[in-house]
Amino acid sequence: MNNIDVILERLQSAKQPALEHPEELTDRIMSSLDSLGSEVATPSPAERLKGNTLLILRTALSLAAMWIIGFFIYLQFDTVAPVAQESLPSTKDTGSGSSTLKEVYKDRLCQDCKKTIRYTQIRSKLYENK
Amino acid sequence: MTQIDEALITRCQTGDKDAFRSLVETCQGMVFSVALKMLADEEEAKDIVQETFLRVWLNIGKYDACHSFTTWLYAIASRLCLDRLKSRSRIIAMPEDEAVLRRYASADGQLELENREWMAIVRLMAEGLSPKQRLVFTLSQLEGLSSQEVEEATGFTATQVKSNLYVARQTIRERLKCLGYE
Repeated sequence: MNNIDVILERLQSAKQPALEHPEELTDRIMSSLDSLGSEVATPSPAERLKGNTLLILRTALSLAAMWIIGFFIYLQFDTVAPVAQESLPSTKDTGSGSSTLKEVYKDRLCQDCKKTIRYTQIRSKLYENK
Repeated sequence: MTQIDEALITRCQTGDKDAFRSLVETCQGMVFSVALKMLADEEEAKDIVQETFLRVWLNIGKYDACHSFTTWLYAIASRLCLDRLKSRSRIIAMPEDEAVLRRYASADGQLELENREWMAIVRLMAEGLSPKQRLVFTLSQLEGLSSQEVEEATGFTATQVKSNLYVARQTIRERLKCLGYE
């Protein structure tokens, strides 16, 4: 057995730490117990009301938070998913050299407008022919 | 380990404060010993004793007599010590602590240790340990609890106890080697 093991073994069998005035600590514990007992035993009606209000408030806030989170998730699915499915037009598709997403969308919208105008023109021509 | 009369615990469970006073008188030394070795501070150790017995009083109704009362007490005190250790800065050894250990190691026969000497020795030995390693080392090596008791008191698994104890012992061994012990 080496020196280190001897030290550890001797520490285990040594006189353990002890309180100098144990009765003082006992009194301190017992008095804290008394004050604790009185605190716990008599919650005033005002404290009870405060506790209930806090509980209701916390529940309401939690529900509101859950509703807001749910609403945002719903909005996310409602708006983002179709865009993702559609596959965004690339800058090459527009042919106008736009680089940002905003510009790509603008171009796309313009194209749609043009398409609509073309369709109305065709329709009017058809009616004119008739 | 201190043996507690079951009748005394039953009386405490019925709210008998005189019985609880006897319980405190019997067990406060044991809790103080663990807390002092863990925190290396006498006043903090006393605070832990007080807080432990407050919790015992509040939860004694939940105590299951199938388990040892002292292990349950160790569990409460250990948790409080761990929380205290986590919230405060590291325990750092003082330059004079080495002299205390040297005197203790070189003494023939069993040397009586004062509280401040205990604090010096644990400060020096357990300086680089994590709170968990420190707890397992204190309970197992300094308090002499069995592995089963350490598991129950800390809530760690057998593997966790073994690994924490191994690392703690290795760290202390290295530290003592640096100080010139073989």
